[in-house]
This record gives sequence, structure tokens and C-alpha cells, in this order.
Amino acid sequence: MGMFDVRVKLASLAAPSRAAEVTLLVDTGATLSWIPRDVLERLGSRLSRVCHLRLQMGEDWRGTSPQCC
Amino acid sequence: MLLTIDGRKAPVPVAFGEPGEEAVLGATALEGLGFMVDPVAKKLVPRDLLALMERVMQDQTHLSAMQCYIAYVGITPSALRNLGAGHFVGTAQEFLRGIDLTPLSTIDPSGYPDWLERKTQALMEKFPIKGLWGPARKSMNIFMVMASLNRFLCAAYALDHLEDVLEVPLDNRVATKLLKWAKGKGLSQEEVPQWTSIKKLDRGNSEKFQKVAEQMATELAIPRGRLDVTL
Repeated sequence: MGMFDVRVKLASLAAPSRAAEVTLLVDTGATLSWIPRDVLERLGSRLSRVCHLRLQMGEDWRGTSPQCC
Repeated sequence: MLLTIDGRKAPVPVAFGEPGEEAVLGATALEGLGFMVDPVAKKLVPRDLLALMERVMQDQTHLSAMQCYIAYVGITPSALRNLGAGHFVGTAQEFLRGIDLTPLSTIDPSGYPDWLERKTQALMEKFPIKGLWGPARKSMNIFMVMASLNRFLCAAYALDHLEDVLEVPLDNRVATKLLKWAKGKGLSQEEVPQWTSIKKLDRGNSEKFQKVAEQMATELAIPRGRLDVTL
């Protein structure tokens, strides 16, 4: 299966003028989109909640999600 | 976060990616933005565009079926009789059902005769007996006239703009009527074609018949291709 990247514009929901462009790997096997922390922080995103995920391999994973997650 | 790809934007939940983790665009974002993945072309395709493409494919299937129907209904054993041994009818039907009519939607009417001649030659080559230009042209003309009268094919390939350049399908009956009309009009010997049979009809005589048919159609105020309906 072909893997490819796309250019995505990210903007803060609270202040849409704060925006950045990033390159993301298209991954239909991932539920969420994962954005580098430094990019989100530059856009002023704040942590909204911590999600507990159980990976397919059976291990628990504790991740963080910004506002609007 | 508000995500925008190719002008499509949507609020999408995202997660903080830590150093060493791949930055990815996941299924939730794709769904929210209305994209599907084309893994072969390696690009995102708008879902509504895919729906449109499916619709076009369905329409195309319907048009192909309609074209097939016209080929089978139009080319009957009586239309291609007395040609000798061989599978003429089936050959013509198979050829006509597969013709690409798409170029006709944009062709200038003055370019139609060339297109028609190329197809006539191609069909002639497929016939079990070589060199039968008349039966090949007759098959083409029957098919094209019937296609132009079919509302689906006519609309899809804009066949109405070729109405005045379609040829009347020639056979013994039509030829006799045309010759009678030409005689009544006092056409010169050079203008009057010769008729023996469709099997022996050549391009030169066919052009003469079509010219006579054009004059007669003008007088009757009907398109030439439909002249045989009134004869």
C-alpha cells in the first residue's frame, strides 16, 4: 500500500490567525492525528485532556490531547 | 485544531506528538474533512468527487448498454442480406457497440464525413469478405441515424449538432426513390448516381446519392439522415 504525505494547514480554533503548515503522513490506521508538540504549543494549544489508549499489541498508552479533543 | 487541506477545512481533534513519534493525519481528520485515500495515486480524493465519479461510471455503463442496444436493433440480418457466406451481422454489431462516440460531441460537423469514412474503413476491414465498402457504410449510417434518434446517446454525445451531416442509409428502396426524385428534377447525367446493389456501392456513387438526398431533404425540410423514414 502506498504511503504518502500531505501538506496541512493548522490553525487555532480560538484564534484562527495563529496558523502553521505541517507535513503529515496519511495514516488511515490511526484514529487521531498526531501533531508535533512544539507546533501545537506555538499555535497556543493547551492540553484539554489526557487519553488512555490500549494499543493493538495490548500495552497501555497514556497520551495527551490539546483543546477540542 | 482547525485543519485545512486543499481548501477544505474542519475542526478536528488532534493529539500531542512527542519527539520520535511520526506526525500523522488520522482517520478522524480524513472523515471530518471529507477525504478518502487513493493509495495507488497516493493522494486524497474528496468523497463527494468519488460519488460523482461513481455516478459518471454508472451513466457510462448505461450509455454503453444503450449503444449496444442500438447496434443490435439496427443491424439486422435483413439489413445485411445477400453478402455471401460469413458473419456480417454479428461483426457489424460487435464493431458498432464498441465505437467511441465521445469525439463526436465536440467534432465540427464538417469533420463528420472524415470520421465516418475512417469508421467505415475500419468496419470494412473486419468483414469476412474484404472490400465491401457499401455494406460497411450502410451499417455505419443505420447505426448513426438510430443513435441520433436515441435521447440518451443524442444528449451524451451532442448528436443533434450533426443532424444535417448524417447520411441517409442507402438500400435498394431508398436508392430507387432518390433516383426517381432526381429524374423528376431533371438532374444532369453526372449528378445522377448509378445503383446496382449495396454490395457494389462504392464511395463515389454513395457521395452522389447523398448529394441527391441532401437536395431532397432540403425540399422536404427534414434532416437528410431521416429521409428514409419518409420515403
